[in-house]
Parts: sequence; C-alpha cells; structure tokens
Amino acid sequence: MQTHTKEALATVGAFLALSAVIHGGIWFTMFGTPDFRVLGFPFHYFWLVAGGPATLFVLYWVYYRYVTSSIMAEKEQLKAAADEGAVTGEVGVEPGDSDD
Amino acid sequence: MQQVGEYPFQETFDVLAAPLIIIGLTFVLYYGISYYMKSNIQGTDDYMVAGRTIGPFVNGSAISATWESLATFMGVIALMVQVQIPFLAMWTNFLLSIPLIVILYGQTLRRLGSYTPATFCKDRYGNTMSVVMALLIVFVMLMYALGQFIGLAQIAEILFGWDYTLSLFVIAVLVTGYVVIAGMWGVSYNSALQFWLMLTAAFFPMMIVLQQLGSTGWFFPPLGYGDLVPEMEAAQPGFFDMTFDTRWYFAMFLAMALGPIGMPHLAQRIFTSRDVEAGRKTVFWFIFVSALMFATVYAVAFAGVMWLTQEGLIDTVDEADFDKMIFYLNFAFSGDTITGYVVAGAIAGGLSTVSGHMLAISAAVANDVIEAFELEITEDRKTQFGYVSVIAAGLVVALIALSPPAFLVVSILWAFAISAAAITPVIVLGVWSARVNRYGAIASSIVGFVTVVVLSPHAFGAIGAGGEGLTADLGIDAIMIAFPLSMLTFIVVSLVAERIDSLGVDPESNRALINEMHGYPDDDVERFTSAVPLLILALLMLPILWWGIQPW
Repeated sequence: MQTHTKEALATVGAFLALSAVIHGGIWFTMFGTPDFRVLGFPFHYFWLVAGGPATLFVLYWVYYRYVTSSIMAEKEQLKAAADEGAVTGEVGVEPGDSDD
Repeated sequence: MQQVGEYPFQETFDVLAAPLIIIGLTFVLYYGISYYMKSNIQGTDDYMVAGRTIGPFVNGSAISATWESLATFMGVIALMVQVQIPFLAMWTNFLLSIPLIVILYGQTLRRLGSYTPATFCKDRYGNTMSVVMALLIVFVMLMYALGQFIGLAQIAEILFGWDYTLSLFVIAVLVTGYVVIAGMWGVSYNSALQFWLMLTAAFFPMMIVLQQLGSTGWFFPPLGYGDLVPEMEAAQPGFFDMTFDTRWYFAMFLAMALGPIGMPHLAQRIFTSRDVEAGRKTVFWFIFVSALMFATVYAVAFAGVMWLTQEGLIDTVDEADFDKMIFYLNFAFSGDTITGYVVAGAIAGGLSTVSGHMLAISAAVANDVIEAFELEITEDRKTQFGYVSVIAAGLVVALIALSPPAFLVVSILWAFAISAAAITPVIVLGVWSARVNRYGAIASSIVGFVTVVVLSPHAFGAIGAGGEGLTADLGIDAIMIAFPLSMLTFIVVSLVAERIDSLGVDPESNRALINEMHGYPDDDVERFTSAVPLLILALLMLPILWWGIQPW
C-alpha cells in the first residue's frame, strides 16, 4: 500500500475512533445506559466526564505513534529517493518544508 | 433576571478591596507579558503566528483557554444546571475539535506555513475563495467575540456598579490594548497563563465547597463528589437522564465537533507551533488540561444544584441567574476574597478567547485580503495594518454589543453551525482530495452559510428546521440539513466542473501543493486523486440529509 493511502486510512480511522469514543450520547440513547457505577457515578456520567476524554488521549497517542514513526519514516525515504533521482538545482527550502 | 438582593444568599461583593486588587494584579501581569513580548515582533510572522515558536505545553494551555472562554465559568455551568447530562454530552463533543483540527488539517497547513484557513484557500482554490473565506472568518469571529465582550462587560457591571456602556468600552479598551501591544506572542503566553488562572480559580475554591457539602473526595473536585450522587438522585431523580433522542446527539456532533474544526482562532494556534511535531504534541496537553478543567466545571454545576436543592431554593432562582452559579457558590462557602479570584479566572477565560478572535480577524483582513487583491505593500506596512485591524475589530464588536441582536445568547453556537457548514468542508476536503476545486468550494460555502442562516430561528422566524425546544432555539437543528447539503454541493459541483472544458479545471495543477502540504516530494506521483472517497462521502450524506428533513 502506498504511503499516502496509509496516511489517509490512518486519518479516517483516527477520526472514526476518536468520534466513536466521545459520542457516548449517541450510544447511550441507542443502547441504553449501563447499570453500574464507577467512583460512585452512573457509568454514562463517568464516561462523559472522564472515561471518554481519557480514551481520547490514549487513541490519539496510538495515532501519534503510528504517524510519527511509520508514516514520517516512509515520507523521509520517499524524499531521499526523490533527491537521488532528480537534480533540481533548488537551493534552500520554502517556509515550512523542513519542519518535520 | 432578578434584581440584586432578591435571593436569600449573597449575590455580589460586600467588600470590594481584595477582589479589586486580585483582578488588578492579573491585568498588570497580562500587560507586563505583552510589553515583554513586544520586542519579539519583527514582522507579520511574529505578529500573526508568534514567529512559529510556541512549544506544546504553552500552546496546549493557550489553546485550552482560548477554546474554553468565559462561557466555561458562566454559560456552561448554567446550561449544565438546566439541561444536565445532554449538555455534558454536547460539551464533550467540543473536546473532540482540537484533536480533529490537528489530524485533519492543522499539521498540513502548519507545514504549508499558512496564517489562517483563508491563506490556505488562496493557495488551494484561488483569490475568490480566499476572499469568501476571509469574510466568513470575520463574520463567525464577530459572532463569537460578541458574546465574550458582553459577558465581560456584565462582570464589570456587577463588580463596579458601572452602567453597561461604560463597562463595555472599558473592557474593549483593555482587551484591544494588550492584543495590539504584542500580537500573537503576548496573546499566546498570556492565554497559557490565563488557562492556569482559570483552572486554579475553579479547582481550589471547589475543594472548599465540596468539603462543606459533605463530600469525602473534596480534595479532587473533578471526580471526588461521587458519594453525593445518591443524595442528588433522591432530590433530583432526572439529573442523570439522557433526556433527548439519538438525533439530538448526532446534531450536536455536527455542530459541536465539526463546527469548531473550522474556527480560525483555534487553527491559528496550531500554526504558531514551532514545528509540525510540536503541533501534534500540543494535542496531548490540550486533552489533559481541558478534560481536567471541564470535569472541575461539571463539579461546580453538580454542587450548584446540590446546594440549591439542600437550601430549598432550586425553584426560586431565575434561569438567567444560573450564569452566576459559580459566584453564588463561592460567596456562600468562601467569601469575597476567594470569589474575587474566581471572578479573575472568569475574566481570564473571556480575555483569552476574545484576543484569539481579534487576531483571527486581524490576520484575515490584514493578510488574506491584502494577498487576495495582490496589493504591493511592505512587511512593515502589513504589520501596521494588522494593528489597525485589531483596533477596528475591538471597536466594531463593542459597537455591535451596544445594541446586541435578540439571538445573542446563542450567537456562539450559531457561529459553530455556520462554521461546520461553510468552512470545515472546504478546508478538510481541500487538504485530502485533489479532486475538489474552487467552483465546488465557493458553491459549498455559500450553500452552507445561506442554509444555516435561513433555517435557524434567528433570521427568518417563519422558516425553520427540526423541531421545537433546545436545539431549535440554539439554531443547531439547521446543521442536520446544512452540513450534508454543503458537502453534497461541494462534491457534485467539483466533479461536474472537471468535465466542463471551458472552466479549465485541472486536478494535476494541485499536485505540487498537495505533495508539499502533506510532506511528500514533488516526484510526479499522483496522490489523493481518486474520486471514490468523495463519492462514498456524498452517499453517506444522503441519509443524514433525509434524517435532518424529517419532523423531529
């Protein structure tokens, strides 16, 4: 699979996963509120106050790890391959080009 | 709203000296930071995006403060008290916006070196769309800033006993002053400080309140009040009910998660990051500190209901006065000095947000409009134009706030709906598809904007969408129609325009830009050029549109 396809799928996956954990309101109205408590709070209240944001943090970390390790490494390889394959005569970089 | 002194509890300060000293000291600090940062401004890059030097911790805190606003201390608590769990779900949606900004376009536009989403639109779609986007940004930011100015003026009114007009202009001068002095440098560091002021002003006083309400977990307000839940359930049996149906929560997702994605004052913060990696790391700090802040604020709302119920006053307090719940609680349990610090926290929230709005307006006018018309002016003159734009924005917002429109209370949520329908699709699809083009973008923005305005209850009362009740009053029902309509327009018009030779649309012309913004080499490889994802997206919009036009 090409790098940009992986990047697009990772983005769609992250979007759906983050949205799914945060949208407890949709799930609880569709499937009902679970009948147990966490720290004394009804589960659905606890999820909206703390569980959802905590899971958001973890899922974003997973996305971050994947993008910064796998995707960025592949982009660097593509850049290196392009630099070897073409002499552009370009000197210096445009603003932002080397920011990664 | 009742007159001060009509409730059987303290509503305003008895002794003003200590609160005034605390609030005065915070302003000295804000101006000191701005003055210190002033020397860093050498050009537009410094004024608009702080020289792109801000690290993750400062940026995460600053974004959180800008994002939370004065509403966190006033409106959020009031709506939590009245709407309860559904509002909590609504606000949690809001938390999603910053991670989604970074994932969907923040990192790519930061790589591109954009000042605002309109700068990106100029590169991606051309000058006309850039001007349309700049106008949308100015409109949405004015709507948003209006509520903040009025809230800040009301605090000054209550605190000092000045009349509303005087309060408004004093606030306008104070805010505009420190934004003008140091631009995004001063605003970023001030906003970071303001966040911690907000958090401590909510967190520590709540420890005192919860302890006196009898909670054993008083030392950690965000999650420490679970032992009060049975008492709450006995007194207010409906407090933990979901109340509304699934569509309500789905409409909230469109407005509260997808709306803020298009908000330039939030995106601009990501553009201040010192590099793309720092922009990504900012999200961790943002989620952590914002979740802590919001969980604390929910505790305030819970404690407010609990206290009023225990005192037998829950039905005597006017709905409009729930905005002041955090102050009432602290007057009752902690006295004037601590409440003074809480007021300083509320002011900090308003200042951080409104300063972000003013800089976004300034960047849209001073940078994007100038670039769209290709005016030849020096860097110094452009920066000066930025200063003038901030002053003009402050003046315009203050003048509108003098005679606020009837829908003012919900102007922020209305701005979210417009942003979700008219701004977000254009930016996000422009980043991820080479197949969308200027014709689709312009049509989509206009359709999205007009649909929200026409269907919301604030402009044409006779035409509406959805049902009656909270979301209709908030103008959010309209988003269930406006968002899918905007997306469909964007995709269909873009793909049709490709097939009309006389329009000269060539997806190939975007290739270098798309490669650059995503960090790929310009190596003749076609990326993000398939129409299939767009067609799938268009198909997904159809059931949402159908759902939106059904009676609620």
